[in-house]
This record gives sequence, structure tokens and C-alpha cells, in this order.
Amino acid sequence: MLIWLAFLIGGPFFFAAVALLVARWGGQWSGRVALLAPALVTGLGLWLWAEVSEGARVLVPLPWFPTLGLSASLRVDRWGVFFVLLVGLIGLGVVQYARHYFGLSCRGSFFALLLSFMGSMLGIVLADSLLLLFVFWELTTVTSALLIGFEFQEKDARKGAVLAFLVTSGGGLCLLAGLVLLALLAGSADLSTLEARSSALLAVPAHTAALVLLLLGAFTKSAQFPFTEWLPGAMTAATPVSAYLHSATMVKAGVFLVGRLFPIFSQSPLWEPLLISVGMATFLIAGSRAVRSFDLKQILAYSTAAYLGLIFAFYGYAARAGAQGEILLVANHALYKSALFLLVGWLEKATGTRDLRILLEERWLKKEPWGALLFAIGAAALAGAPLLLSFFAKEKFFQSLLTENLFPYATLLSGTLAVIASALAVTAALKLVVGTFFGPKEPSEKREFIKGHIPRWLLIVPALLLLPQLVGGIAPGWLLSTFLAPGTQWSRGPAFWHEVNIDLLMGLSSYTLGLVLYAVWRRLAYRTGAGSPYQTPEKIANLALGFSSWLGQKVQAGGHPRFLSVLFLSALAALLLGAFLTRSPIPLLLSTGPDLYLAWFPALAIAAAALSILFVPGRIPRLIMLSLSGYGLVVFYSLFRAPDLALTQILVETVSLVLFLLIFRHMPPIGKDARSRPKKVLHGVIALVVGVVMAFLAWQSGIITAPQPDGAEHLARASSEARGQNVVNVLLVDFRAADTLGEITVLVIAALGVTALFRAGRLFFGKKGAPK
Amino acid sequence: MRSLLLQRISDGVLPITALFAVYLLLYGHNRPGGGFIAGLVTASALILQAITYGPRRVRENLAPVFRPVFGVGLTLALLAGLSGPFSGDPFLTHYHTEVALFGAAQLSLSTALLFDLGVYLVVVGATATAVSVFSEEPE
Repeated sequence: MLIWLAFLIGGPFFFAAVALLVARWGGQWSGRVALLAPALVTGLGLWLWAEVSEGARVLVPLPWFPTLGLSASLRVDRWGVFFVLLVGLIGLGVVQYARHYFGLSCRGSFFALLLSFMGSMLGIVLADSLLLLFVFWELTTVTSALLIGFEFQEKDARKGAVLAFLVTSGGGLCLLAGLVLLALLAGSADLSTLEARSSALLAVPAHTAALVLLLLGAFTKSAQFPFTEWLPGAMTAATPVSAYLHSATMVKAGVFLVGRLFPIFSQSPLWEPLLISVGMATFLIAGSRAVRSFDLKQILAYSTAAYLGLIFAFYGYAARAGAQGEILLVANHALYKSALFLLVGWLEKATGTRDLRILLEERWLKKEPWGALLFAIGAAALAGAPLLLSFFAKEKFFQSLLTENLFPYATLLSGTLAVIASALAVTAALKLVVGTFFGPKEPSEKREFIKGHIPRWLLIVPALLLLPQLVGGIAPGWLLSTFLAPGTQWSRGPAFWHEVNIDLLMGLSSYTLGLVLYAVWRRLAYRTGAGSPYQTPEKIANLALGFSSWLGQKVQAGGHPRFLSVLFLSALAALLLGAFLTRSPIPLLLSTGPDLYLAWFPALAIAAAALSILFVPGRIPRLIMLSLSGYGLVVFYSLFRAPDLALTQILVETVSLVLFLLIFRHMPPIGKDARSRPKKVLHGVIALVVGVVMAFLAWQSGIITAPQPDGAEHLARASSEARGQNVVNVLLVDFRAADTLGEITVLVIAALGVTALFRAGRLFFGKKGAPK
Repeated sequence: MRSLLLQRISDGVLPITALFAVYLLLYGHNRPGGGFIAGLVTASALILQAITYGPRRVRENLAPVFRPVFGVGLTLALLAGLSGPFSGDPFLTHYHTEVALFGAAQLSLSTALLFDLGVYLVVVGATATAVSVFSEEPE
């Protein structure tokens, strides 16, 4: 199983690399290669679905760092594999659409990003370890931000990407904090273990903090109130990206996480009020924003946030009755909303605009009857109209909120709110169809500027995505018994036959109210305008950016004496705080360790060389003195019989000496020291204090002998377990290999950073070091 | 400034250093050495070339070969580490095996060597990158 899951998650990343490689033959080749990834995902997903569709669960334990209690376990279950299918099937459609949408301007990097996103999304839905889930969660944040800002020459794209990144990665950090807290409370970060320990966990009051943090991650990802605004800002991304990431999959990651947390936290006192209030607030507020917007993609973005709010609220209500039908809600929305997004992309090609203020005046019905028909089906699904799958989904939601409730009249209140919010969706749907296609006058010939060159796939893909709506609405048998409750037979007729009950009443009143609202909007449309979006996410983003630029100024302005002071003093403070918090005794041993009188010679040489740095003029002499004190250490290591360290020290000193000399050629001649005398004294004192503390620490670690030194154990195990005679090397590549892996990663990042900064600095500062 | 003497010495030293680096890498598990040290030895040979022939030689002839190497190195180290989880052991578990060569000689192979090779490549790649970037002519 593990090998198949590795193929499933790694496959899209592999094809992303291939798509980049084949881009040299033209972007079309990248597009063709990109089709393979979702095909593979769909194939494997269908096979897995057959195994788990009845509710079975397969855990794939994957040990990672067992000494730290960290695993990278995977799991295969209904909820996860359903998302795999969603990602694969819609991905297949979106890649095919994108190939024809971009045509000759296909770019390899675009498909590579899209496929990397696909792989990250699969990682989220197949993870059992919350830690692994978090890693992939952040990967989707990064790939999403890069795709939003893909056309980075445009200011709006950059702004949208930064906003989306700051809001969702801020939420990601909350998620990390929440999972660390959860792991501390429950002793595990694996979902399957947490489910088993749920009742013990809920007995601890501190679990609410973990829950709130985890939900903050979910709410930001799914653009819930008050973080909604990043989603409309993300609409600067290309239409296939909006359809795939920002309606069908990535924004559903929040819902997915809540679905995963449901078995653990649903009985928590905070679960119901938090999810219902945030979900219903988003359902209403984002719904009303959708009604007021004029940009078709903005309308769809707001209505996406609104529908996700509905799903969150559904999970809140489900705490009492149990969740059933959540797959129907998610599948329904993902299918019709991505189809609508893709149709808007088509509309933009056909009419040259997606601005409702222009489209309201024009009558596109006759010119584009097929597009109009598909638009009508999609919009009807948005409104939850009869004869469509969406109708059942809406009923499912109404039923969930009609169960026993928190307080008296709560049912009445939430029922009313739900009707109003559904009416807002009906209005948005009417805007999409009537507003777009049924204007008063025929569009002028000049407006159809690229008519005739629109590839058919731009309509075929949305049509295929809308097909399940019709099938599920008219003949719901197989489709619904699969989605709703596994193993049961769904025996109801088409989605209009209905007994007279409260659901019907709510549905009818929402249609009526939606019609009224649409009429009102037509009257007021130009007077109210689009309204100004509420600014919370933008404020968060500005606050974060402002803080980082303030910190950068404070720490770095004033040359590297200040920068180094801040660095050293913070390290010192952290050290002391750590010692204070862990109450570790600071030993004061002044005895000397095993003595080697010969060691006095290199020691004196090191000290003399270090001191002379203060008095020799010019950079190069100072550098040489610094290197001399470094080479002095080599003698030390040799005296204490540490050949590996001595060898490394010689080589590091040599290489860094040459690198420094190379860098010096780029630096302006050293000038007079402009610092005032008190400042010099202050810097001197800081340097002295830091030096003394470090020397003290080194001294202590040298003379304190632990009762059972680590070295002895390593010496004993090196030969027998790791088959090595050289303990230093065995430590590096085996016993402490994770440290080494971290270090070489840092080395790679440093090399990349040096290249990027050096080149960018030249581009930005020009030749003479003055900003261009 | 070019010195013929230095060029001859540097050219003679280059293959010796390369061989020495291989020796350090292969014997690191049992004698002083290892990927990190071997990488630095190779890097210092590159630097010697840069000093004798001018930085252009490194930038144009050697850096394009050595620069992409750090990505390969990191991937190799990661893959060596991932062999653990795929066999049901924790990440970064190493496996050893003895291969009999020509009857008597024993060749001991280990994923730790693969990991060390990754470390070696990263160190060489990172240093070559730094040398080639910093050796651009100041403008």
C-alpha cells in the first residue's frame, strides 16, 4: 500500500519536474505531460475508492523520528479518497481546459506549479500524521500564492498573492501551534491515535485552545469571516487556477480538516457555537457581498466562501446528529462551482469582458446559446434548483439545522438565517444568467473580437463537470447512495417530487426572496455600486509587512556593528532565559581539566592574533590575523588527537580565507570609523560580554564530565551497529544524520541565497552601489 | 597576473587532490575523513585553479559542472534517508551489506556511504557556487 501511496503523492511532483524539462520543446509539451498526473491520480483514486467506499480504513504507519515521537503515517479512508478523486477528476478537466485556454502561450512553469499543488493537496488528504498534513498544507499555501502572482509584472497580481500568502500562512502557523499543543496534551499527533483518546483529551480544559488554533487554520484557508477578502483578491490568478484551487480543492482543505477533526472534537463545548457562528456569518456576509459585486469572478469567489460557510455550519449542527452527507455537500459545490469558473473564463474569451456593468446592457443569448445553457445549469445549481443534485445538497443542510438545538428558538433563528442566505445565492445565480445573457440590446460586431477562435474544450469541460448535477437530479439512485450513506439504497425519485414539509417551505421562500432581492438589485445596482470590501485581511497583511520592515530597519540600519550586537544579545538572552526556565543550575567550576602544558603555546598564539586584529590597519591584515587564530585551533585539535577536526579546521579556514578575499574586491575601500566614542565603548562591552560568556560555556562543557558520557556509548556502538571505526564520521552520517541533513540543507539554501542576493543586489544597486 | 610555475603545480595538484578526496570519502567511515572533509578538499583544489588561472576559468569551465551538483547531493542524502521508511524503519536508518569480491576480498557497502556522498556533493556544489559568484569582476 505504501508504495502506491508514494506513487500517488509523488507522481504529480514527478510530472511537474518533467513538465519543466520538456518546456524547452514548447509549452504545449508541458501541457501534454501535465495531463498524465491527474490521470494517474484518478486511476489510483478509483482503485482506492473501491476498497474504502464502504467505510473501511487502512492505516499505513510510517515511522519518521520515533525518538521525538514524530511519525509520517498515512491513512486511506472514505473522506480522504473522496478528496483524491475530487483532486484527480477536476484536475483532469482543469488541465485539459488550461491547455486550450492558454493555447500557444502555454508555459512549463505554470503546469509545474499546478501539478506541485496537486501533489501537496494529495499529501493533505492522505496524511494521518497532523505534522505531515501541516507540511503539505503550507506547500499548498506557497504554490497557491505563486499561482496567484504568476503574472508578477502586474501590481494587482502581486498584491493578491501577498495578501493570500500572509493570511493563509498566518493561519498555517496557528495550525502548527494548535497541533503542537494537541500533541503535548494527548501525547500524539496522529489522527487515528487522537480519535481513540478523544474523551480523555476533551476532559482537559486546555484542549479548547488547541481547537481554536486548529480551526483558525481551517477558517483562513477556507476564507471564512473575517478572513474572506483574500479569496476575491486571489481572482487575479488565471481562470483555470481559480476554478481548481480557489473553488474546487484548496479552499476545501479547511473543510477537509474540520472533517478530520470532527470525530475528535465534535463533543467539545466550543465546537458547535464556534463552527455555527463563523459558518453562518460567512454564509450571510459573503453571500451579500456576492450580490453587490459586478465582476463575475468576484461574485463566484464570494459565493464560494459563502458555500464553505454553509459546510462549516453543517459540521457545527452535525455535532448532535452526527455527520452524514458531507461528501454530497462538498462534491456538489466543487463540481458546479469549478464549472462556473471555467464558464466565466470562456465568457471572457467570447465577449472580452467579465464585468457585469457592461454585460447587463448586452444580449448574448442568441450569439452564444450553448454557453448560455451551461451557465443556466450552473447557476441553477448555485441556487439549489429542482432537478439537480444541488437540490438534495440544500435539503441535506436544511435537515441538519432542523435537529435539536443549542437553545430555544435557535432552530427558528438559524432557519431564518439559512433562508436569507440561500436567497442571496439565488440572487447571485440570477445575476449570472439573466444579467449576463438577457440584456436589452444586441452586442455590436466590434465586441466579438476573438469569436471563432475559442477552442471547444472551453465548453466541453464545464459541460462534463455539470453532467453529474443533471444525472444526480433526475436519476439519483446510484450517485446518491454512493455519496450519502455507503451501502444503502437511495430510492427517491427525481429532485422535485416532495411531500409538503418544512424543507419545502424553506426552499420555496428562499426562491421567492431571491427573486425579490434580484429585482431590488436591478433597481439599485448602479446606485449602490460594488461597496467597499471589509478590510480585515488587508489590515493583517499590512500589519505583518509593517512590522517586518520596522524590525528590519531597527536591526539592520546602522551597519553590522548594530546587526551583530542585536544578534549576539538575542542569542545570549535566549540562552539565559532557557537556563532560567528549565532551572538548570549554572555550575561555577574553576578547576582545570586534564592539562597539557604544550597547549599554552597555541592558546597564547590564538589570543595574540585575535587581539592584534584591533590594532592592524586595513581589511586584509585583519583577515589574516583572524585566520591565524583559526589555524591556532588546528594545533589544539592535533594536541588533543582529533584528526578529523584538525583536518576540517584547516580546510574551512583556507576556503573561507579565499572567499573573504574574493568578496573584499567588491567592497568599497574601508573608511574612517564614524562611530562616536560612547558607541564604540558600548560595542566593545557587548563583544567582551558575549566572548566571556561563550568562553565560560566552553570551559564548563570541557571540564564537567557526565556520569555516563555520550561518547562512551557511541564508541561502543559505532563498530557493532554502524560498522564504522571512525566514531566522528559515524556520528555525522548515522547517529546524528538528521543534524547533518539539516546542515547540508542550510548549505544549499545559503548557496542559493548568495547567488540570488549577489545578482539581485547588482541589478538593484547598479555598478556603484547606489540605488537605481 | 599569471605564473607559469604556479599553473604547472596547480595542474599537477588537481588530479592528486581529486584522488585524495575520493580516498577520504571512501575511507571516512573507518579513518579520518568523510564527505564533509572530502568536499572541502575538492573545493580547495577548485580555489587553487581560480587563483592560478583567474576566476574566469572557474566561472566558465568548472562552475557550470559543479554548481548543479548540490541539488543532486541533497536529493541523494534524502533518498538514502528515505530507504528507512520504505523498509519499515525510521527515517535515516542505514543498511549495511558485505559483497564478496574475487573470492577473498570483502567489499562492505552501506547506505551511509550514499548519504556521505550526498554531503560531499553538497559541500562541493555550495563552495563552487560561492567561488564562481564572488569571483565575478567587480564593476
